[in-house]
Amino acid sequence: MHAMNAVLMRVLAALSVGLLACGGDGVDAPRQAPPSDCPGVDERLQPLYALLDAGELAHLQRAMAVSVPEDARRDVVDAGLRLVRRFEPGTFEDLAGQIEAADRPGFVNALAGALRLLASDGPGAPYPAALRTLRGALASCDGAPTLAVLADLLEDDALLRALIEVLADGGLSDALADLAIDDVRGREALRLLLRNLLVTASSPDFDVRVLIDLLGFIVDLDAPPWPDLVAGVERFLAPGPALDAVQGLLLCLLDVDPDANLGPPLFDLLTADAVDLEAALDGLPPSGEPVVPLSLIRVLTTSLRFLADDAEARRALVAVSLVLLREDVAPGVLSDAAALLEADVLGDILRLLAILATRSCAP
Amino acid sequence: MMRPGPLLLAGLMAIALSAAPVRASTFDIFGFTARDVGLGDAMTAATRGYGALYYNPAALGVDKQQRIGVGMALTLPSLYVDRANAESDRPTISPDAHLGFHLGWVKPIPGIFEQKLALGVSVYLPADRLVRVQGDDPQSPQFYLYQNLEDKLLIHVGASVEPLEWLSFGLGVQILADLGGTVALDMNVVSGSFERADVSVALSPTASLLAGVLVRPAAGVSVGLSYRGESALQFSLPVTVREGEALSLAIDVSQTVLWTPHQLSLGMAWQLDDPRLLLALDATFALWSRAPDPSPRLAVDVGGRLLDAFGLADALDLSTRSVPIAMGFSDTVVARVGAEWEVSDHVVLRGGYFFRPTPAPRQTGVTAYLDNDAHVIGLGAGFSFLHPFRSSETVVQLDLAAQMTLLPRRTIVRGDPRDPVGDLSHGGAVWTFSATLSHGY
Repeated sequence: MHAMNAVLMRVLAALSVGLLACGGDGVDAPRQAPPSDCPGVDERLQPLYALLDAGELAHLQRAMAVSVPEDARRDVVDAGLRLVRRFEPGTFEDLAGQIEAADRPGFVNALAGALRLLASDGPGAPYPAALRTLRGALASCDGAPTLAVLADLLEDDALLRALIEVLADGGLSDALADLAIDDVRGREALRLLLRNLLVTASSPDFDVRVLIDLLGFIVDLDAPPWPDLVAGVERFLAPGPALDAVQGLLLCLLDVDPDANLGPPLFDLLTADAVDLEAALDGLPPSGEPVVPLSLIRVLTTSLRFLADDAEARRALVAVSLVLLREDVAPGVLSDAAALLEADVLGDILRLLAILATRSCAP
Repeated sequence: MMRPGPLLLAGLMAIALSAAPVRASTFDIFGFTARDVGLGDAMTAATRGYGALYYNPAALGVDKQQRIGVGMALTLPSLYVDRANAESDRPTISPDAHLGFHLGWVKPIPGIFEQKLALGVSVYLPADRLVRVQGDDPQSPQFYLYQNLEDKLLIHVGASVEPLEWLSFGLGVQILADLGGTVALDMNVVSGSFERADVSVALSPTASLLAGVLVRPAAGVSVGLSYRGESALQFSLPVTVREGEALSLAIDVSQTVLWTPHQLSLGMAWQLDDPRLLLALDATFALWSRAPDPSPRLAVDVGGRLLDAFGLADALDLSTRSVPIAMGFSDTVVARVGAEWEVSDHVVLRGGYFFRPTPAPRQTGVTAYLDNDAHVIGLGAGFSFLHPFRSSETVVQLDLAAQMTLLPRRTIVRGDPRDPVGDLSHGGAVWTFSATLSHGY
């Protein structure tokens, strides 16, 4: 009997061990792939949230959410969605690779400086007459040919390089500062020149030489880097659709603004120390390489051609722009846009788009 | 026993005969048991057994016999839509063949109730799927009454009482299940994954009322009145997707499907002794004018901190329609006639006919919910067998029936050459075959 009990106990012990081994206790769950340690959208957009929390975008928010009519907001969003469909697959993947390489703090600072100058810091800020001119041009001028010419210009790498070299040279700024026509100097002299340009555009024999001759009043076109630009402009604006489009725009501007009120803010932008074009455009890629990354050019030209082709999208954009360029709205909006640039929010958003386009954070 | 006078009887007959056209659920369109199908669904006064749960619950206890049964119904649509615009991007949607089964049971309660109280329950089970919520584009031509009517689990529960020998009342419910739920997703677009996914789906029972009264004013004569309440299946599935604070997307999908109108039926049955013949007449008024918009309702609400901050959230919101489609259906009255001849103690033959006017207007507007008037002819037979292992009082009954629903051609001229649907003609036939095996004891 005692022996039987001992055997029974052993069997029970063995069963207990076996039963314990059957359960899930002491067994770890299967390993899962760890969650991605890439920062999420909220983390990447913290600088933007901080600006919103600090009220530094209040003007832009109020303009978009209150001043712009709901229909116009809806139309511009619809247009944006149509534009997105216009891009070919892979467009943004290519662009993503260029974003870090094209990171130019000098350019961003110059752009922010330009916005602040127009909003508040410029001598004539907020340039109400120029704002009226812009609104009038948006409302009256046919934008399609102008947008198409801009797209063509972006695709003309030689001309684009010459233009950037001229702007980065600093000579134009100095020349404008010394500009004098009869007794008129500085910004008023530039206004006179522009007015002259608008008037001559109405002449039937208007051609590219008129533009170049007027430029010759300001700078020595035989001195570098101007000859390349002159050659490029002569080629680009040879008689044809591009010249017709420029002439059409100038005629429309003459009608809208015979006093050439865009002259003073243009003068200030090109001469102000706050807008450091030399720093902004420093370090161009060597000749033979595109001066602006091709992927970026593709995005820009696709957008411009979309706007040139889609009258509804142009109308939507004009409706919003007419509100944003109102004298009571524009200064605040421009200041907020400068704050966005200075906080590098645009860079954050572009980097986020790059991650999404390339799926570089996907497990 | 007091019986109502012949004047009342004549009045009820007159109402029944003057009625013009009918009704929807698979029982509404095709019928319940094989006996019902064979008799042209003229069953408000002639129904017996668990079929009474649908036609008139007051008749549940009339036979004083417990009955249990199983049955099947096969529906074979042969419908056509001839379209002038063969290139239309709105394809025609045709109903599929369908098979369904039912189980039923009715029991008079003995003892203190002396079989004057009877209880019954029946379940109809579609073979393919218990419930189908089908939300086709309202511009795609589709047969409103036949598209997915059978894809509905139906449960009927009822009881009858017989306070007087010539009078019975019945009450019951038709049980449906609303399909609802929520889906909440937290996504991480950066990593291309969902960090949290909570999904909840529930079937919530809803019931509609069934009520009836059955009067037996004279030997062999029955007059019935029954009411079937409106019923529908509500489908709602809101989906919320969030990407942190930046973006939120609320998608609400909802729909009202498998709708059945309020119906009021009046019927009379007359049982002759020689020959042994049952004649049945029925009229059903159906309140189709309350038909709701059956198309899916979709709403997309885009929000989030960024879009809200710049007033762009509303600009991205989408909704299929802010105003539901007005169906413009008309109320209908369907008249039915049926006859059942006892050829022998073991064989009965049945025949029935009814005309169902369409409740649907001509689809000359935006929608393409098609329907036709319908001539419905039913033929059937019943075979009784004594139970092989029980006493002679227990009977096994096999009922078979075939039904042809003939839809005369209906032509719709939509006129506008830009109309995506185009002119069309539609019609055809629907064949139904039904069998029921039941055991009474």
